[in-house]
Amino acid sequence: MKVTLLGLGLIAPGVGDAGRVRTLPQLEDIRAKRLPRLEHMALAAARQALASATDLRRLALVFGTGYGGLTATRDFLEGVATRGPEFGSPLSFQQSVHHSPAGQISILLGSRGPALTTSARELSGESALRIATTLLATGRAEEVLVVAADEWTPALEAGYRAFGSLAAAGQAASSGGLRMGEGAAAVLLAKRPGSLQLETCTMTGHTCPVLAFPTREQLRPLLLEAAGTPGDEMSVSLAAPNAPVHEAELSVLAEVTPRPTAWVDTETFGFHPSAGLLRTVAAAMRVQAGPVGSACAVHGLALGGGQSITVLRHVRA
Amino acid sequence: MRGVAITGLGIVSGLGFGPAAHLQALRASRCGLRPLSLFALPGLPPVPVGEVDADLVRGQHPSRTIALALLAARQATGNQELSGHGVVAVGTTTGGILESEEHYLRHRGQDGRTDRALLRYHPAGAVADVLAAELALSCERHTFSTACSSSANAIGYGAACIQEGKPWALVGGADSLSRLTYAGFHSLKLLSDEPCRPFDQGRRGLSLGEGAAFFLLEDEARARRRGAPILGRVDGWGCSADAYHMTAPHPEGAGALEAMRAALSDAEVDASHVDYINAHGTATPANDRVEGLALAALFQAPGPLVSSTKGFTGHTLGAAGAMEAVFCVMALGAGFAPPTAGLVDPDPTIPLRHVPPGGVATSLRVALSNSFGFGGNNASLVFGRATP
Repeated sequence: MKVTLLGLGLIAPGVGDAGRVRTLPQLEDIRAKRLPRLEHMALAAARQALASATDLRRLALVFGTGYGGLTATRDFLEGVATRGPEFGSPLSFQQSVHHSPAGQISILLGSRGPALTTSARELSGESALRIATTLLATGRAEEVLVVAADEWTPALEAGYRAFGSLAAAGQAASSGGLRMGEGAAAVLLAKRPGSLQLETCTMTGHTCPVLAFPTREQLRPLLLEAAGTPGDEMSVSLAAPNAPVHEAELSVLAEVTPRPTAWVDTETFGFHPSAGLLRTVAAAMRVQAGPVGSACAVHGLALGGGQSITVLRHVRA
Repeated sequence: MRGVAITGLGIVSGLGFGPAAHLQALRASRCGLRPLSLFALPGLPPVPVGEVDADLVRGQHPSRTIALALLAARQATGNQELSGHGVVAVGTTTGGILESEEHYLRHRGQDGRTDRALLRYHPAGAVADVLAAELALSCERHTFSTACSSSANAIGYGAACIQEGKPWALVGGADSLSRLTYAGFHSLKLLSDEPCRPFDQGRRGLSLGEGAAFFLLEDEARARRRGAPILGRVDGWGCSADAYHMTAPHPEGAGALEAMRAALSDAEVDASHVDYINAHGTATPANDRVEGLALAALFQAPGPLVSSTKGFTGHTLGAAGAMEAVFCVMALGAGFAPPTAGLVDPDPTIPLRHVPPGGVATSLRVALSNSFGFGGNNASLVFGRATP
């Protein structure tokens, strides 16, 4: 089955913004303006990707998020703690549900096709892509809008910091610390001709502690297979969540001849569960700007053992 | 969808542990709801919930949701080794929130290091990771979090993966009770102060519950080759969005109707061939009315037998779709349509062919299960009886 990327959307931190999205795009309609930050980012990315959608009413939507409305969850619990359990905020409760952004997007777009939300740690965007390809392959949708979004919150940062997972300010790049980010991305997928193809979307999982990435030996086979994808203009977008994992990825690529070009976008987007879809959109833009035949394998890794490869290729339309 | 066999199932809820205990409870019309004891929330009374017996979860896992998931998933796989690259698809609404909310309420405003173990399993995706690790499964993992339809969608997706050529899929859902959902449904004024009474004229809202249910799905030909017991089939999956309102269902049930139609079309089954429907039936005034409208629009009177089993288990949110799927498969296998616990005086504005009190022993070939959630999310599954 040939799956084409028909539209792309990206809400990403600016250069020098330390992984935070400082300025959100303006949304025209009054309902959209009231959305919380996570849903705002998701909707803005979704709308960017929709230019080529043919039938919004039948559009399927797959949303990926690692933590969903964490701000809303915190707000609800804060209300419980300060005002009492009988005075929890119904709005915060509703927005704490992982599916809330997808619900808002389907309402604001008027899309009544399948609407799913998936969460797969730091492969939440890739999980959404993978599910979308199944919807297309099994005839459950003709067009699927894939959106992923996660927001930085003080509570999330405190959680990672409590486990010693974060890089300290000024810490050397060779440390194992993660640098957090946030953002949203979207791609519109369809089974019709186009110049940007989603060639494969493969996921697997390895046995890992819940706060550890796959080891070099675990990640090697799939990365090696992807890096060896035929094509003269092959590149790889590395997951590179931290320096040790980045080094492991580079050492695997060193086994491939000719060695493909390696991209690292994690410095720009930061570490967060939806970053894989942001990197996929960045890879799509690079591939599209290259000659016909250019391809990029986007490598994804998650705490807890998840691994993915997404291969995009520029083809003659 | 053809050839997706159910070769294992597991379930744990306020009714007990395992399919036999659940079938026995349904046959005896034994309600599993009792006043909440898992935690106390000052100012909120302990209304009836479907709480899992503490002895069942003790020592299973630090996260209660994961403990429930492990209990059910181990039953479903029967501890057999699953070869080839399959898929784990789990449905959950709140994952490890019970422990992380405890951390927040104890240590808010501090640096978070004290009791940090309570935060370890907060991500919804951790349920699938731990399941895969504990069961030694190297495979792709997805966690569907579409509120109350989460595990129905996980089952549908797993079945679609079998259709695509995956050798097996471990699918289901798990959710524990939590302060967030208990106080949250209270804030929406949807919690009933008595055991819920789906489709009853005097219904006063929903009762929450907790639990987990899992299926092992396999390609039917593969399952027959290896001599696996075939307990039933997943024949259809349909899902849709209302695109209407975040917490209220579409007033005419348009999304629910679309999901049921899509599932029946996927199963290549005419509505007239459906024998039993396990309704979403939460017992909130709006949900039951709208589901009734959608069912009436699709099924000609008198229609199939209909019941809601939420009066037995409570509404287990992300686990509900999977638990009710297990009830459908048990109903098909045992030839027994379970009743609606709590239904005494049917709402005359919802003209359904309710399963009579005590349930009905009758041959059933096709069952449909509905799961509808926040954000206008609708999922329906069609199940077929196992054939020799």
